[in-house]
Amino acid sequence: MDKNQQLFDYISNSQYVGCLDDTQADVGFGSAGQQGLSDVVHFYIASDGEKITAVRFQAYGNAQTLASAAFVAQAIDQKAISIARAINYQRINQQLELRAQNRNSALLCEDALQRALDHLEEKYE
Amino acid sequence: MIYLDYAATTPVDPRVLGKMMAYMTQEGQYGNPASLTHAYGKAAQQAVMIARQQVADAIAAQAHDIIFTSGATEANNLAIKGYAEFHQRRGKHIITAKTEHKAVLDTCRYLQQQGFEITYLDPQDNGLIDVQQLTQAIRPETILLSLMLVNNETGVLQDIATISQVAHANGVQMHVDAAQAIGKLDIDVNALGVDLLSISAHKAYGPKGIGALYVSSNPRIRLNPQIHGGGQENSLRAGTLATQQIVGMGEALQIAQAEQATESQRIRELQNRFWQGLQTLGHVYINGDKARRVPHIINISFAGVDSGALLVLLPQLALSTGSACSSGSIEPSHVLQAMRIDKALSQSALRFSFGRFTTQADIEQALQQIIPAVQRLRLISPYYQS
Repeated sequence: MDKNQQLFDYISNSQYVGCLDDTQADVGFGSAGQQGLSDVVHFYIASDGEKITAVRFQAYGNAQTLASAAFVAQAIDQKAISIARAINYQRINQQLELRAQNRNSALLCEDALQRALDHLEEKYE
Repeated sequence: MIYLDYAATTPVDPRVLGKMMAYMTQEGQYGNPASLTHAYGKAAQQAVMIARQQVADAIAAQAHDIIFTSGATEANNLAIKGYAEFHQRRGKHIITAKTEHKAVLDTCRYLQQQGFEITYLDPQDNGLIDVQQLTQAIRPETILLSLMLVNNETGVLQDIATISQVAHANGVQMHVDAAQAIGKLDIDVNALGVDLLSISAHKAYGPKGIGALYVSSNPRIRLNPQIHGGGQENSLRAGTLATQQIVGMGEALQIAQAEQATESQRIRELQNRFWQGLQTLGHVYINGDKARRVPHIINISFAGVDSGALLVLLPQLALSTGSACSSGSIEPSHVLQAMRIDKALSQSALRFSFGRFTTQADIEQALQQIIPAVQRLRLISPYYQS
């Protein structure tokens, strides 16, 4: 598939755009990047303690970052938390065939995801 | 696909191609214009003469002041380096602006390495050069001022007539890069007061690979040639003249000049409709002076989105984030940076450029694609508040 078409599809068609109320006990929030300095990714993840029951993302930056976030959201929805934990930047790179200059997008998404899962874990402890 | 990147290049007008074809094949006049010992060469020379006059007419110059080059980039190199090298005993200071095309900036940087001092003027926020600031930058050793007539990224129209008066009053010669202006505006080198003027054909529906440098003969401007061997173009630019390219350039400029008034009005109306259509989005901004600009180019920032992401969501539109010569780079536009455009807005900027084959339907279809794409990206953004 044409790379740009793949990015287009992820960005245009993702059903996971938006946010969840992270003040809720079952919702974790994670963010990576800094406004004005880099691309930014936010993940909101709801869980029942074992499985991810809802996920939303927000992102600002290049198409690779937005598509990476959309892919991650799709990949972890309704999955076990352990599966979500295993999503790393290599997996994202592989899925989106990111070029070297765009791989930071995958790193941002991995960081934001892990922070959201950490936040969720803290709430369940 | 809808082409909205006329500032990058234009398709060759079929009328131009028709004229060019007569000078390419065995059935046509394919002789070397310097081969005056036979009819083939003489016919080619005649064609070049006619085209040279057509190019001269397009800028209200004399034919003998036109030097053909491979394009505006080469013309800029010849003008700036050629002038600097010839006149360096008089002084080694050149003034240009941070918003110039890389063809000028990189040439100036090269001269810096050769010991010249270059002042890069900051534009005002609207992209126009402050004449006061320019006057203060001129020194006794300043020999050349190089500014573009129309900015390739923003479409801002510089007040060259006033600026050249200031330059000449201070004994400084004036070079103008008119690559984006040719065929779109009335250009009169005498009214503008320029000594050197660079143009190319491919932005005016002519072929790529051909341009020209106007070199004033009154007063006579002396240059060091940059390409040697053969003595063509008054020994200023050696190399066999590309007859078909030159014929194409002449024809393209003649057509553009004849149709310029009506075309400009038509394109202005297209741009107005385009801009009006984008207002439904809110938080969209024109980069560059609102009044002193050409209708063909408009640079717009869409708050809350990244221009690279927006381009991916517009696969049916041929667009640019800035200069084609630098759109392969991930660096922000040096023009918008120099204008001190807010960084986030600079990163959200796209250049839209319209032309002879742009239709009302193209504008409406472009709007139908751009508006939902921007809305989608703003929805995804954590920062955009509608």
